[in-house]
Amino acid sequence: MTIKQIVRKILSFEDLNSFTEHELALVYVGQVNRTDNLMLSYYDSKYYDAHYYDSKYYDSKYYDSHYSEKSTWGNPYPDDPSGPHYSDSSYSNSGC
Amino acid sequence: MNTGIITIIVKPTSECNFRCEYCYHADTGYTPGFLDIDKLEKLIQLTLSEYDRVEFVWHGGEPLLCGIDYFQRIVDFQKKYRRDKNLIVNSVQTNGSLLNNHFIRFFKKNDFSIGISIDGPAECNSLRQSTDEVMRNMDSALRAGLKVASLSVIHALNVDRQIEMYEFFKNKKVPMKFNPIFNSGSAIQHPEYFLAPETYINALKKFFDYWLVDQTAVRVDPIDQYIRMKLLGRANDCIYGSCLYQWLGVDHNGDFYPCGRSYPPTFRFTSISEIDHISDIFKKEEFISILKSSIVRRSHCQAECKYFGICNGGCNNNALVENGNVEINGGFLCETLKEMYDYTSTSIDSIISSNKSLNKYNPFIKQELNRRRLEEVFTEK
Repeated sequence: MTIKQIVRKILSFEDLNSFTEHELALVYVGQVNRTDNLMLSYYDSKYYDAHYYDSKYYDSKYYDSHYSEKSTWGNPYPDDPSGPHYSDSSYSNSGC
Repeated sequence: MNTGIITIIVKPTSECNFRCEYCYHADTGYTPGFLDIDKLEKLIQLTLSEYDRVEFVWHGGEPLLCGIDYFQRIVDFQKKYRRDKNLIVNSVQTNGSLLNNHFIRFFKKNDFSIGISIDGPAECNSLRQSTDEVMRNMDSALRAGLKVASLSVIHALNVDRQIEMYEFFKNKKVPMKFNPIFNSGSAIQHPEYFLAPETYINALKKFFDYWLVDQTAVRVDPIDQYIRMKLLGRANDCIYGSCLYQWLGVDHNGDFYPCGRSYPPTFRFTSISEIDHISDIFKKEEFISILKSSIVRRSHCQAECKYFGICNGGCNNNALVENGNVEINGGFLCETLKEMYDYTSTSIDSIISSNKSLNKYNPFIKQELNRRRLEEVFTEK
């Protein structure tokens, strides 16, 4: 069964017992339909490019340019760097 | 070899001079002492050698209790182990009480951003201490040009005052984030502070309606997350993402956990003393266990819930705290997300379909929807 088929199944913990750690990682990232929301930091992006997903999602430049931006929708104050916008992604992205 | 991004939430101490009644961290205790310098150095060395972009969130407990010399060591280690390709981001989450001028100068010089945990003006901040002192320190940090944001807890005593809180921080030009109280830590002892989902949701809807037409609006989470979901199809907060492999928490003993939230000891992955590479963590039985549980939960979400495409199965810690098991979905935040996504989405759809002037809406909405209208015009032509 391909990873694509697996990620569309309802899985139990037992289903996953025979998976290697690498296969589990593939299933985990593959579950998310909106792959552009993923920032893969463990596995080499080229692996995914070649085996599963559209390369544009895993182009590191794509993430670099988007990850640290202050906003990705409506920014009426682009010339005001001291303005009240999220400028620190780690703060704004953390749920703690 | 990994060339990616990781966020490490480091709790260099568990001690806190505030010990708020609703603190989720209280689960792990307020043990005195700091993360050992040798462990700190190894943590920085390993992360910088394996990842290009490393975001350190210095959390706690109260991290400023470690003192300025400790933070100087952090910066020294980062300089020592930095590779050309490394991009290092530092932020501190503090109660603000110890944020004196020495710290402010240090953080400014070393480009740390500061998150201050405070629930707004005194009337809204009744479960925290020293509002005036913290506000003075926040104002000093802002005057010094530090990047400052506020993080507020919404609970039963301030749930109806989000507009006041918002106006308060907005006037200071401080971006803000509102988190509902978590059902963990010492908050468990105070059920009187908990929120019924409908109470929280109704207050959020009221707040959204206010924000939508505020001509001097600033961004505020979680509203910003709902708008992102609607307009971009994705949020950027960790609770709506795939955090495993991308986030780690480190406590004052040097033990690794999934993130900075409170987890029982069974979720301890390993210690910094026991690994030679950060990637060793991802081979540990405890990591594999939460990975499997997360996959199971998400597979149910994916099959059973139409919101999966925007929340990605939610947060492991929320599942654990609300349902007692990482494998089980549902609960307070799940319900909130569904209601609020529908509410904000319907509102924006209605604005778009009305085709009327956008002038009454806030500058963010106005600019974004105008841009989209223009795009449509050019696309049609």
